[in-house]
Amino acid sequence: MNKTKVNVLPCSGIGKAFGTISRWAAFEIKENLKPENAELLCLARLVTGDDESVAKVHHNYNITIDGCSKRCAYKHLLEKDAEVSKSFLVAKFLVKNRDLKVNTRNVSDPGQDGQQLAKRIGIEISELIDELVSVHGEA
Amino acid sequence: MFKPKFVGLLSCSGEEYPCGTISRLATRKVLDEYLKGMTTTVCVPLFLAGDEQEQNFVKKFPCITIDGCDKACAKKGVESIGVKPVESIFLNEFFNPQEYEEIEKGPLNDFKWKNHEYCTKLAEHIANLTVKYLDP
Repeated sequence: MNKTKVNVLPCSGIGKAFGTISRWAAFEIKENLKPENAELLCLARLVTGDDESVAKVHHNYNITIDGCSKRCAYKHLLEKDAEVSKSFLVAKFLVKNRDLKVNTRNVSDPGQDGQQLAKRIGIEISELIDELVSVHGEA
Repeated sequence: MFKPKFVGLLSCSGEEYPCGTISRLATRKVLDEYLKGMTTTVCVPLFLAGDEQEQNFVKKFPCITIDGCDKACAKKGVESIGVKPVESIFLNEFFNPQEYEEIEKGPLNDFKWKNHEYCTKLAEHIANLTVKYLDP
């Protein structure tokens, strides 16, 4: 079966600004950049073993965006025997985007530069989504 | 009755639903503004994965769960380690049907909801429940 959807799983990270940025990036992808091809999944719902969520991670491509080195999103996908097309860590984007001064002390709002970082992450992941769907998916 | 200095707030982050966004934002509002220093949060997926530190906290301190939908991931997670949350909030019960429908049809992202009256209303409710369990 050809795959046309890509699950994007951000970490839920309620305790860290990078968790917020991972969510913002996922929302940017789903709401603005790739609404047709991207699917968001609740990480907690997947972890609880919800049948619908588990089926989705087996039928679609999966990309994870983790906020910290615990890498919950990535590890939970592996635990569900799902294939991970690509796993991202927000901190690595921060290294690449040093022109941005993200306010990591404000968990719920890492500021304008946090929004900008989330957009850049979203754009990079959207390119990967295009590649996955065009190369491996339906024409 | 034992009254601790901290209450744990476990919120659904529900990336698929706007209710998850409101749950998370309202919880952060309590943590950062309303009851700063008296509340702490537990990352639900990390907790569900069996993280020892997060699970020990839940066993030791009273916890309130905030779930965006009736899947009740946060509440079920706490119960799965044999602990009963002192309070469980479900957004579909807390908001009236019109409010809930408006939320469900709204955006996933934070920006509309961050300073929205629904988020404030939920945060106040969480805070009011929390103070019942705090050491005066």
